[in-house]
Amino acid sequence: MSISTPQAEMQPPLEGPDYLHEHSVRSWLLTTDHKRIGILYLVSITLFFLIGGVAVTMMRMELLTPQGDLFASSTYNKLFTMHGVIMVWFFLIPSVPSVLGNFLLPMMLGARDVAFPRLNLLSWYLFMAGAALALWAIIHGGVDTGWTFYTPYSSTYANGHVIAMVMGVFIAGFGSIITGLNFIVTTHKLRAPGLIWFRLPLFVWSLYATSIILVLATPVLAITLVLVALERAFGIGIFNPAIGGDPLLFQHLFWFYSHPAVYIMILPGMGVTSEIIACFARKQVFGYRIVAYASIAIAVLGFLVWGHHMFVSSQSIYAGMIFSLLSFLVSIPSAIKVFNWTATLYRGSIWFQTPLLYALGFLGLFTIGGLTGLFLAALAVDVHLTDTYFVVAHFHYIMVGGMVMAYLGGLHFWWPKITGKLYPEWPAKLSALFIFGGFNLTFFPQFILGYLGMPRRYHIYAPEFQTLNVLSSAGASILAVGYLLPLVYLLWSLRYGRDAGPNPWQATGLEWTTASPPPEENFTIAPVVTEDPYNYHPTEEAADA
Amino acid sequence: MTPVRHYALVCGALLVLLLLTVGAAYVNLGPFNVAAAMLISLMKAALILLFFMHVRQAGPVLRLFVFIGFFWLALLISLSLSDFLTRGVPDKSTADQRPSTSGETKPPAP
Ligand SMILES: [Cu+2]
Repeated sequence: MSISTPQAEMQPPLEGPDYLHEHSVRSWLLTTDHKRIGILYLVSITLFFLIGGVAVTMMRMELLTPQGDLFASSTYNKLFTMHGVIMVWFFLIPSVPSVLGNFLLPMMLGARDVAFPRLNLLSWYLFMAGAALALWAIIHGGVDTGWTFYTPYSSTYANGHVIAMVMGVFIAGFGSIITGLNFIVTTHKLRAPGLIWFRLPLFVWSLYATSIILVLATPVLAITLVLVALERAFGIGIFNPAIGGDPLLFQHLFWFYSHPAVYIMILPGMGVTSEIIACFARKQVFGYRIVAYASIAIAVLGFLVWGHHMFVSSQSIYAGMIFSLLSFLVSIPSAIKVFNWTATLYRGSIWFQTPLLYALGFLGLFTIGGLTGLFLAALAVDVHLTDTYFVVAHFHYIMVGGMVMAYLGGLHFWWPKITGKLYPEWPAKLSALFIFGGFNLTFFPQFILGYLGMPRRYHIYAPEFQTLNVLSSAGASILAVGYLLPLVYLLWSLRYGRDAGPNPWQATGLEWTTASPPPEENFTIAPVVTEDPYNYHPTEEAADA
Repeated sequence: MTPVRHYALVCGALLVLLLLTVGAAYVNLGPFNVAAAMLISLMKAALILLFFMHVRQAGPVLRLFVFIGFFWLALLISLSLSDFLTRGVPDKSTADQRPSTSGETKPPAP
């Protein structure tokens, strides 16, 4: 008795070599295989995650006491800039799209590769070149502007290697644009016969929505950073009012990219969550079409709300009112998704495997992060909360509580497909619990700190804030253990893990019809799709059948 | 017409328009200076899009994407203008009651 039917016939057992059979360095650095490029990204962003993590570990240690006893103020400024720049551009933005997206998109479409395999490799090289330049800037003294590079500080007054840093982000941005373009063309052109748009897995819909943002928003960031560099290097007056510029123009342009970038960081996580919840509740996703449309709606509406970052920066009140209203609107499609996932779980036959634990963590933490976003979108409340720890807590609930949870959930879910090995279930469950507990202990106190008025980006603070800061640092150490555990047991499983077989979760979707690890061109027989996605049968129905 | 001839013609048209841009810079049209420059550059952009970027032969999906690109630029400009054009407009009445912070330079009123 089968309790699920993938969208196409199972592939015959694999006889030839799989995509991992070559081991030379050359075979990795010159590969055009989307699966190998996904793994190149996986290794690189893990490295950057560790570097960004080291920076924040030092910050949390400094924040244990109200005095500045470990670092000078300027060093602390450089640490949080380093943490922000690396985590946003060199970990979160490429996390799910470039690792899981690269690996899975062609397989979910029944294709042999992405539409432009060489461009795909180029995107990784651009990403690494940008990262190298940013690391160079960090090693040669760092940058203290914060990850937002606000002008005229960044363009006129800041010391340090601002130009190298923004150029690093600029170059990596082109990697993003190419990836987005590649995904859009692949989704339009390389779907297997029978795979109409409304048979696509929701992960593909969310990648498509993400790609739209990557292609439309990243160029604006690129040109903005070039303008900062031009003003800094040649004194061309664009943002500095002293030479005829307008500092708010920078914030308009920057947030035109960076608010949608929040959705670059969360939409793919939503896609992962849809896949995991459907699989481990053994149910069709509730309201499939609405969830698919909601992804596109988020991508579009996300472009209309950027002014909510500028309520207190002398933006006109009229514009503030417009942006506040639009920000409330964008919460609707996100809420739709949360309700639909909940409805999917309702009366499902729940199977508590590690990926589901991560997905449930995502659901709760993303909801808290999203709802506190509404506080910040309200004009009057935002005046009190701007630039406090409330904002820090809010976006970490979205990006760490949401996206990192979804990324790890997805990594566990597809790990058997990527490596052909099963990870050990017990330590994996433990890590999910550590991360969930540690995360809340780290960031919930920061909501209170912010509400009480502790400003972000200071390492010397009023003594009455110490208890909550100590709690937060304690949480961060638990969180760190939670992050290091998967690093250990996933590597362990490469050698000692049990063989996974093509479909260990009895999941639907074309990627599960082929061998694990898949052959070089994914499928030996071109798949033909005959049914809708998520054809799971709850056990009672299966028993009836 | 061979493709090479085709492209050469478009290229020639672009060069003529370039000369026109330079020429127009020497004639003072008063408030129409910017309008004239913009009009000519729009024509140049249209030629490049339609011929060099093959939008003329493109199918509906590609045309939609071209349109979206311009539409997004319009979003960026119009929503930014909602700030730039209305600075200081609705809060005239409360402006006097606000405590002025000394030493802080205020941007000049638009
Ligand atoms: Cu925002």
